[in-house]
Amino acid sequence: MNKNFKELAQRVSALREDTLSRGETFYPGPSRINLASFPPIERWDDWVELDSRQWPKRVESHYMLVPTTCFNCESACGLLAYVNKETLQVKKFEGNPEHPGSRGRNCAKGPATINQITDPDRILYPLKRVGKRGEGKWVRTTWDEALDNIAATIRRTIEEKRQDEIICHIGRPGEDGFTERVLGSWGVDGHNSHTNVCSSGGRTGYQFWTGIDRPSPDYANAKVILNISSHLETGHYFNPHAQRIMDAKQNGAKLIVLDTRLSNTATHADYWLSTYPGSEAAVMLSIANYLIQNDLYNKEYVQRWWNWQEYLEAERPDLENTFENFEKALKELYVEYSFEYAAKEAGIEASVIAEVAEVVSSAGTRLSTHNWRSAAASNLGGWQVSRTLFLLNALMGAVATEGGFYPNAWNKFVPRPIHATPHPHVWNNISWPIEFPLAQNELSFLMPHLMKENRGHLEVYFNRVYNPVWTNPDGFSWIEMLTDETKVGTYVCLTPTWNESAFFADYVLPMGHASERHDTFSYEQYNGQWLGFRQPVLRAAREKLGEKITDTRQVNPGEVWEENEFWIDLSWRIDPDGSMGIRQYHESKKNPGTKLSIDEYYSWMFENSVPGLPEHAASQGLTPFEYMRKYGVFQIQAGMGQPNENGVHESELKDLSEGPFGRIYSGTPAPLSPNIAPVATPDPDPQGRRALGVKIGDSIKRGFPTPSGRLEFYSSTLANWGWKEYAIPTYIKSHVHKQELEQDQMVLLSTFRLPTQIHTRSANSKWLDEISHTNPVMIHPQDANPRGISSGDLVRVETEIGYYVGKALVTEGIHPGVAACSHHFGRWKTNQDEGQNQMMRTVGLDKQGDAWSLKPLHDVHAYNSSDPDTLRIWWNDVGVHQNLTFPVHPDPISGMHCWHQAVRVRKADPGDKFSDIYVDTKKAHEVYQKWMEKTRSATKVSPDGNRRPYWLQRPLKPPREIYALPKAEPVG
Amino acid sequence: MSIQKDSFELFRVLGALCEPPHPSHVPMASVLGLPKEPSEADFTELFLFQLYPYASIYLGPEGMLGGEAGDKIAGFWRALNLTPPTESDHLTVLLGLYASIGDLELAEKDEAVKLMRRQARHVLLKEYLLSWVPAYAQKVSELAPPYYAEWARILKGALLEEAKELDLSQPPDILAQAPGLPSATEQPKAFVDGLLSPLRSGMIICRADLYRAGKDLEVGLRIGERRFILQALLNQDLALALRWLANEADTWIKRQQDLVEDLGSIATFWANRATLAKESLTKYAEIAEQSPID
Ligand code: SF4
Repeated sequence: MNKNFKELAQRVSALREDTLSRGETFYPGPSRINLASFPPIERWDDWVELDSRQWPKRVESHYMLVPTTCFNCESACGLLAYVNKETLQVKKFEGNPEHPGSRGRNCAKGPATINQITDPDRILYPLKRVGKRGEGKWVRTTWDEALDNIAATIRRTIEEKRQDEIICHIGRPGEDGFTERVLGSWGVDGHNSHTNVCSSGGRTGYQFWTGIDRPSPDYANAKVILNISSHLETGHYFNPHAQRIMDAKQNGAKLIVLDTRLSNTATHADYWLSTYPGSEAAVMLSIANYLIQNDLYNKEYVQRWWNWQEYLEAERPDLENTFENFEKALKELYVEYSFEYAAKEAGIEASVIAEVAEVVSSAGTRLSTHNWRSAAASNLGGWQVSRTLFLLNALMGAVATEGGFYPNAWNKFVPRPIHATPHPHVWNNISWPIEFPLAQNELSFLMPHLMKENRGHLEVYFNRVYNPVWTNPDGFSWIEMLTDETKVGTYVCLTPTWNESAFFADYVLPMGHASERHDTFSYEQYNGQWLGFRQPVLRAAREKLGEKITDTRQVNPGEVWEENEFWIDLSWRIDPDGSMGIRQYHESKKNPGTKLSIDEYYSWMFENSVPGLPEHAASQGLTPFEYMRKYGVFQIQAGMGQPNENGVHESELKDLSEGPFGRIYSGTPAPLSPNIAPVATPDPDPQGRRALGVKIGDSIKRGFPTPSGRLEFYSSTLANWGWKEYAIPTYIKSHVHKQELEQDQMVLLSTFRLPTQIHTRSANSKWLDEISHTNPVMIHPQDANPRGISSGDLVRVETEIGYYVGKALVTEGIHPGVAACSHHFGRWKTNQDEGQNQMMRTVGLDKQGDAWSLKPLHDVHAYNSSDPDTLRIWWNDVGVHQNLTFPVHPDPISGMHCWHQAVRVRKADPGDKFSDIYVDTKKAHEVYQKWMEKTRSATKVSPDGNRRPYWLQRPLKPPREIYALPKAEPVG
Repeated sequence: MSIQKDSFELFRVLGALCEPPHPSHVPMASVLGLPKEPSEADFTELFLFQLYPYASIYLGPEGMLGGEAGDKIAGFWRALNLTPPTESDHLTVLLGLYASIGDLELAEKDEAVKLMRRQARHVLLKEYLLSWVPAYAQKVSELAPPYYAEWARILKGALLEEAKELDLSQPPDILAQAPGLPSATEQPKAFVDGLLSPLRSGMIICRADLYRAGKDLEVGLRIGERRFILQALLNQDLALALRWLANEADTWIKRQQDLVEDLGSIATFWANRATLAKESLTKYAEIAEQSPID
């Protein structure tokens, strides 16, 4: 080496040794990743940035960085609000690097939260209807007036024992379990989720297998990832999952995507299978068959964890109950699902499926799979899609393994709250109609039809952050219900932003966005558990500056409130003196007889129910509550192991009994767990001992929360409740199967989302609206050419109950025979002052008998407001509201609305205008009736005199006696 | 301590110094004899606006971050059974990796494994360091404030020392397979893009060069990303701008010829690329001169 360099090198080495010998760090560590760097937490209290508007002068702005959580989709990614210390206004939102789920990253919707809080069209004060419902006349009212009025109505309804006339319909989830507990405290079975237009189908498949209804793949460590949907791009837990899928891909994992469309996700896949809608389960079974026929599955796992003995006993009494015989039986079960058969159903090449099957077989226990909405949410029998997908994990033993599939409850933590509220002692027949004993969630989307049949009446209907008129199928039937005061007494809409349903409300009550409310929640995003905290950032900031804030309205814009304080206050007004037994659940523990404050509520939770948090906070000199205010999140555990393999504690091994096939029951009371994440509750033994575990070999393992304690390949529940033919994972032909369609019909795929919008919540986020604001009807040239359709042409899309007029986009990026039109668009308002101006077109609504029409009056355009950007709106096409033209399609088992539509697509008529809608609600009701014929009522199939198997999950779970079938059908 | 061990440490320190300025850099810079500490603005100007220290920019046909070259480098990490870090082709990371492999090689007792480690180090040196860093460092030393100019001179010198261990009669694979400049007349847009891709044109043209071009040509300068600035120059006076670029290519030929003795086929490759670029530019300029734009 050249002498100079030799000397230099020696000097450098000596310096390093010298530095290290003093116990100091020589290299500061990688600080180089400029694009990914975040303000270090030590500087969050005073973060300095140059004011870009003052350029070229260097003017410093000082910020306090306060964590909160995005409220746009359910991923609940961490955000950091930059609160200007001088103006006490939020300047912008960026990612929270401390968040273990999102790891500092967000999708476009996260930072766009700033658009939502500064939206010039947002609702700032409580509003009350004057004039007729839907007429668009409002007056500002006070919170006191609204709360007193609503509380009085609720009190009267409860006192008159009409608890089933109060329903709260939930859209975007806020705090895990909070609303359920409020309703439970009122004794009301009124929780109504949006899940049946969302994920019931997917959940059902998982629930029958594992007793837990959500998937939680450990993507980052997977070798093979198989997703049925455009999950990478827009999925549930979009950003936290997408980044881990990309991590895995960078480590060489293969990504397989089943998606009818050429989505962005499909373009990232190693294998893209553009399957015909509804054929997905056939493809999964052909892969399963390949694994089975070629002995490529994990036999040890199957023998250990499947309930194969139960299957043999029930279905193959001709065979001796041995595993060898089960293997033989298994080989016969799916033999018809050849690659060729699946290929024919799916309209793709058999060789591609064969290749994919081989890739799946190479995954070992590192197979991550996922289906949430997509096919499971779109087809009759869609719940068998997730069930057949999970079959692959169950065959490979890739369950609760590194890189495999976790049932979500094991990666989720719901802390026990300060008050344990009871479950209601009533059964709501509108939410849980008798025809659907196995429904995964409430049949919320059938409400207008059930009400039309006079099966109930609502005294008070809340919806919160939900927009059924726009989101649900058959919105005109919703309008008919909501405008009929004999059906809905008081309609209260809790929403941060105007929506199509709010226009028909009696009260519109403004609720906060992501940085304006408190919530805790935990989502299954990787192999670990975390608890996130959403908080009103200005409250946290001002408290840090020494102010005492007792009500979030003190810091929110206008009189915008948060839900938790709202519900506590409302509960107090319903039961002001505590005589109804409601108030006790909303009282302070420290000062009994006074109202529970948010600070006490969360302080108690963080101190008592979050393992490790108090110690961790103390190590930093903070209380648990201060810690959560500072960091916005706490990771409880990383690496969950294999909980089904866990043993049980010695103290529980008393008063045991053994049921069939090794199910173990214990007479000891269940230990109180701080984690109350929902799981199924398997039935006790005849003497009332609770299900404890399952015997595996000589030891007792925790197992799965299923009746058998094992993975239920065979569901005795389905078999005993009237659906014997579906007791094992099978392929159910969809209502849009080719054989169901007329010659000139196509399938309309309407469920897919775009990564830059989120239902109706994101509208008026100008950054997002500028990126995506319309929804063309995608159609393959093979279908477009014979119909004389070119890109840009107006087309009529005719459903069973009406039609809409959209704009065609001719593309090869869609399966022939399928048309596709995205969700999110076609927002509208009637000719009134209120409403949004960036994405809502003004329309005229007309009703002649049962025939409804919606006609465009004015498109959106640039307008003057407090935000100069509204003058820069250059788009006027905001798409078409297609869901209005869809009838309801309840799956008879899962209760899921089956979204796919059989449609005719043709060139529009000369007088047609873009976004015209026509619907006949009488026909809509007829379609509802046709689908109801597919159901098997509990009155006919219940094996035990109950309305529903008790072990299945239910957000509010009345006691067993309430499950008993009514004496007569609750009709009329 | 062995000389080799010291030299690996030197590379590690040189890598650390192209990270944002940090108090811990002060003693390092001092033993290297670097002049006055840089400001954060100096760092940003050099590494974020002018000369990006990522291998993929210089070794990929697109002249951009990532791409095929980025994949190849990440693949190299994987081949070593290592998880590629977020920016696996950043100069700091590559120099750190080089030093780490070197340390392992020195510590290894098993001769066969030692040999494998040496081979891996040599691959890294030839394929992903010598293939671009000397030219890059040359450019930095011409453009940067004194601190970084000196840093670049030491880096280049140390690498050329290291190159003596290698047989450089054949160019590295990553260069041997590289596509050249598209035709100026058939694909004018791709040609312009190609000029900004070092691998295709044999030139490193940074923003500062384009500003200089604006001055030299006395035409208006439109500020934006490099493609935009270059296109604006060409739009204003195509023939003159092409001549200016041909002249730049000539400078690059000379720079590389100076390196041939140390870098053999690598410098020859780059010189050839610049020669071809110069020829195309000159030809294109002649055409433009014959048919001036209205
Ligand atoms: S994925 Fe996007 S919208 Fe969803 S929580 Fe994260 S940042 Fe918000």
